[in-house]
Amino acid sequence: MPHRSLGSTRKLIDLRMVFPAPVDMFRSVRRRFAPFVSPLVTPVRGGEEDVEGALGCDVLKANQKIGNISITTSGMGLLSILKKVKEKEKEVRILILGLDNAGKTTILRKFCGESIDTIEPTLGFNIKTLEHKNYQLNVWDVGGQKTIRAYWRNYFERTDGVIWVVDSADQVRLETCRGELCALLDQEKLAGASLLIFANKQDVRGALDADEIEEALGLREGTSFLNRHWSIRGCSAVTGEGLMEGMDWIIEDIAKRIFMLS
Amino acid sequence: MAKMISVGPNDVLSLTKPTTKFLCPASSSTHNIEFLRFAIRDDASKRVFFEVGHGVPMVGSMEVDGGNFRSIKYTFSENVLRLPIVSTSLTFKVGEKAVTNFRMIERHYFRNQLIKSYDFSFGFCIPGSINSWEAIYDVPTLNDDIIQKMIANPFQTMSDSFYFVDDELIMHNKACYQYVREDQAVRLGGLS
Repeated sequence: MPHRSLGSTRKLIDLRMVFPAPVDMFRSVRRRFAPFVSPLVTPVRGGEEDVEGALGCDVLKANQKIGNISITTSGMGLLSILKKVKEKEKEVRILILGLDNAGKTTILRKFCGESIDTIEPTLGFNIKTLEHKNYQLNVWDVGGQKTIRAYWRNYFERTDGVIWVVDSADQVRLETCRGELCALLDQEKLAGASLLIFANKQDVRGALDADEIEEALGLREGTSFLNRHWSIRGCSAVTGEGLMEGMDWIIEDIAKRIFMLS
Repeated sequence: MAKMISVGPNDVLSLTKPTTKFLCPASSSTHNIEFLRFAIRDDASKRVFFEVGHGVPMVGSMEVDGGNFRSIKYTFSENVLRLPIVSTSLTFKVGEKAVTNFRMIERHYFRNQLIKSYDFSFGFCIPGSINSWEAIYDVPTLNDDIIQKMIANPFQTMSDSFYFVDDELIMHNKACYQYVREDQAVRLGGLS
């Protein structure tokens, strides 16, 4: 079954879209580089019209003014991001987590156009750094085995986005998966992070689709997800299907926030 | 060995030329950090032009200087100097003790001119873990004048790699580089 390599014709993401830049640039920049970008390029959204939507108006409580954009928010998440942007504004950090064998490393490698033939269980972390003009995008893929999960909290600091990878064909462990995800979202250090959920292994027969995973993980229930920017996408790390769209979403979501605060 | 003055990240970030000696003893690493693999490749073609590590056939040419792995001489094709985007990847293993606040600073010079400085914080490393870091970056654009000088002056392009745990220098490695014509590099096994 021949599959196009996602990264073979692409280069580096244009980090200018991720980092603070004038509104005009965000509107007009067409993302020229990959691997993080779909070939069906669309101008990056941004600007005032997206500000309210980006924060979820239904949970607004406090009111603050940053730069010349007045925004409202429910609190801590935004403040922690603001602090972060001041401290180290040239780094965007994405954390990929999920149970073991969910496909985290495969997603990262497929996405970068690398071979996925020989992937061992991750017994630590794999980091990909994309650097462009002193700006950095750091993607951390941390192993998902039970013994390693206890160490996840060491990687939460300064995280802008979390990608949670689900093995959609592993129905036996969906409850464990749900439990780990909920525990993760309770972490204060991740309060401001965008959340992308990849319902991976859509190429496997019997896999639940994104809607069913959403249901199984209870994404519409409780309060964990109310106050958060999240999205769920079906994908296959093997065929590459859905990866670009998901990564586009999270990068754009983070970019909008950072832009907003600059 | 005489006790060395403790060296911190800010000290090495202010260096403007290669050090004349190692800033920490070879034995100063009690953390058992072991490098398993290092590779450099052209991001566009994905072609690996240097790779060394356990259980992988070596690609490229290097020479260990002085009997230990602290000082290495590399030979690269001059084409490497003109690649727009390069990827370097490093795989390392951590001992049975967790490593907190692991950080690498690498300074590259031609003679006494700083060409590039890398500074990356791995942060926490899980006890007994195997970790990898791949950095894909724009190569600083070098003008043709300096490229010609680098080719004409073998091993005067140098780098110092410093590794810190909790701001304490635990490893210092040095490297120097020569750049040869593509056909010579092929003969050396550098670009097969």
